[in-house]
Amino acid sequence: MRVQQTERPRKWAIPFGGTPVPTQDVKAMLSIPLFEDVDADAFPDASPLSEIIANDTRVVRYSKGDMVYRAGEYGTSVFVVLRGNVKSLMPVRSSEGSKPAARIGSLLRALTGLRQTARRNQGLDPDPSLKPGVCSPPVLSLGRYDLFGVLGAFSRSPRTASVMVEDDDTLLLELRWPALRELMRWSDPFRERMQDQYRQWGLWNCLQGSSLFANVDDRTLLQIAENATFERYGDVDWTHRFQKSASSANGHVPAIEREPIIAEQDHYLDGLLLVHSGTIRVTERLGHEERTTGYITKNGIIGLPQILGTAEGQGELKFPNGFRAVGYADLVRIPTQIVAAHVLSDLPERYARKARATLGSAKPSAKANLPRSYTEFFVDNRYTNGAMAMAINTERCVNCDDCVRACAAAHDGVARFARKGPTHHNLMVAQACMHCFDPVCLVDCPTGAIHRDKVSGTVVIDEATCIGCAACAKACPYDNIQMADVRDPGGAFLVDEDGVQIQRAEKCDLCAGRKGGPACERACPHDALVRVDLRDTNGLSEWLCAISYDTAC
Amino acid sequence: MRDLIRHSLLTALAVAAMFWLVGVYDASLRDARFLDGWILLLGCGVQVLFSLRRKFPLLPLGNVSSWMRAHIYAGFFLLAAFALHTQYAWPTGIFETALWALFVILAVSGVFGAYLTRSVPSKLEQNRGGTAFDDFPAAQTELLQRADDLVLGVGGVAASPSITDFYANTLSGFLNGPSSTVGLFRRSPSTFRRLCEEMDSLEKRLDDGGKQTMQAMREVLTEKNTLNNRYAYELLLRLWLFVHIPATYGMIVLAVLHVAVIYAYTAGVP
Repeated sequence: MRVQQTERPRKWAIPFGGTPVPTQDVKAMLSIPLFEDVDADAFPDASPLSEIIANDTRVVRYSKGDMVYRAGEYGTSVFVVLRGNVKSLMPVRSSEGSKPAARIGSLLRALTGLRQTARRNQGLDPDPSLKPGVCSPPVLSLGRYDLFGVLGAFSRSPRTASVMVEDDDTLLLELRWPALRELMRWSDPFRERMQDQYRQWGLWNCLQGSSLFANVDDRTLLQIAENATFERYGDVDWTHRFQKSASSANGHVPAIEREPIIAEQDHYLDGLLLVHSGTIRVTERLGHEERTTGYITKNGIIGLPQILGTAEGQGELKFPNGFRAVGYADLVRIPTQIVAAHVLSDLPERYARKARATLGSAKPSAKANLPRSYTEFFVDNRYTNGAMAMAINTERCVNCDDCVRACAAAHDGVARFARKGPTHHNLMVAQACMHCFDPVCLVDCPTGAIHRDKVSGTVVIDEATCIGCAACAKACPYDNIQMADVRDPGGAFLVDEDGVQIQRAEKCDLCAGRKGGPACERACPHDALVRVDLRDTNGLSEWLCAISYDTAC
Repeated sequence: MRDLIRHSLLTALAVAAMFWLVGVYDASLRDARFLDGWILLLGCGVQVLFSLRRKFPLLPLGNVSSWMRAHIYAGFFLLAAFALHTQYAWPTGIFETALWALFVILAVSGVFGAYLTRSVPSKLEQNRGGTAFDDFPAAQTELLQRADDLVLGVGGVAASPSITDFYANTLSGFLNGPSSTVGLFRRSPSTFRRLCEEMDSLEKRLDDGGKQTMQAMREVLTEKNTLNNRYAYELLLRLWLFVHIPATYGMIVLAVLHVAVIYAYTAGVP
């Protein structure tokens, strides 16, 4: 076996900005309000605050009209305005007819209110240029020391607004995810500030982004926002708990009972619940048992049929099912009386129709198009997180391994997945990166090497900055990231000064950069393999049916 | 089902168009065998491209599954072209017979292969197991080792003489073999059922320890039966290609020779 000695890749070998931020600049940065109560002494020697700022942040100069990011793009950085001004452009809410003038006119007021709340929490003064009552497009100006990008960074979901630079020579401090993680780990005030920002923007984003309020004017929406609460159930660190439960249960999935209860069946329905992020298991009580009937994910709504039904004199204000957080779930709760007073009268027709239809049926079923057992399979195994999971129909697969060969051909001779995995009836979810909606593998990466592609959202690993620490492989709840020995172009294994093999994390990258999409899917001669969003049960059901020889389909 | 009807109709339409074209060609007092012969040869050439497509999966030339579908329906089209070209007659002469036979072998193996690729996966599904085809010998050895350990009492008490005797004379043969697909289809599932019945019969006469050993042995036996079935089906999925692919290349060679001979004797005049 030929080996080649080389230096082991280390954290901060490639600083975020290409070169480390100069020491005097680090000092200047640490004096801005964002870091004013961050105690440098609380940081460990291995990860000092000054080094974090020097290596995991960068200062970027922008010109007027430059876009910092666009709505819909992915990114886990948070930005602070050091000089100049930027404006955040929120997508205009869709309306089902009435009150467009009021909607646009009062949006700024709503935003201003939130901005003032945010500023109060930061100990900063409100911007005098933003005054209630001014009719203006949905734009929020951000000035010196204002912070933005928190929601996208923390939820690992697409940006909800575009940010454009207003002045020439604007300076922004960009903190990449590893910096944020370390700062939150070692500084309680910083963590609390970030969480507070996340809650506030999460609440507003949930209300502003939901078409349920399409006919509600912005003044009312603000009123709703003031009465709503942002709640978290479970723990974002669910992956380790899930892995532990799975291994301790000898491969069996954790019991429903261990999942945090959001609402119990037949309990009083005290508010409308909007799902901001995470997954919720919908259950039904059968005697002493609780069984899964469906699941609800981002943008899902709980309780609308019951609130509407009660207002129309039918039904009771009770949760029709049990609801539990699968891992974690962030929700916005709007008190029932607020919904009744402000939402029902302007309820978009399709919501009203659907809610009445649900009330008319025996039980609401969140996802009834696939047999219930599939739903249970997805929820129990946390596959509801999969945006591009590899699904194999075992009734079509002839084990020819063309998919594996195609993958290997696309990745220097080494396949990035294993054609095996948990199977339910005829559906196998193979061991390939699912490019999760919430990629928890990103959280612990010390260098930010594993990240989402800005445009497509594909989870990819930057070979240049991966140091082979295996944090992502350990964090992946599905065991879909492998550590591979690194070789030089001549085929020799790379070892460090101590003779220890150098490794790098490897996973499916959906054949990024290749035309035509994932090679595995294109190579399957029998239509047995598909990359699929496992939340799209309609699509999955159609696919399973379309390629089934079962005439009942 | 809609796709099946659509593709079948399209194939039928292509066949009808070919018949019409050949009819027109024939009506113009030219030898239509040249036309349908070239259609057949070119069609066979196009069919070969499918295996090339599979060998280069990264080429941006559409999904392999679409190629596969086209390959199957084109195969049916070529059957019609073949019938037209041979004028529904038996071949005469050694060369012609060889060419005819190779085409028939190709067609039959193709249809059989298409049937297998649709029917076998569900059988594999019924005999679910994580063993890859190349790992079957290792899995078989592991099962045999487990059975040996049960009888010899590794980590516990050795099995009673009646179990040892039963194992040596009856079970070990099943656990050791068979090695061929034909053997597997001949022996299973009746062999497995018979062995289970014999185990039931023996178990009644055993004490608790013996019953436990027999239960564990039954698990090994069931796993071996599943392994046998999977092996047989997976082998079938591979074996038909050993007929289909050589027949393809053999037929192409003979067909080219056939064209050369025909043109040599007709001086290239259709």
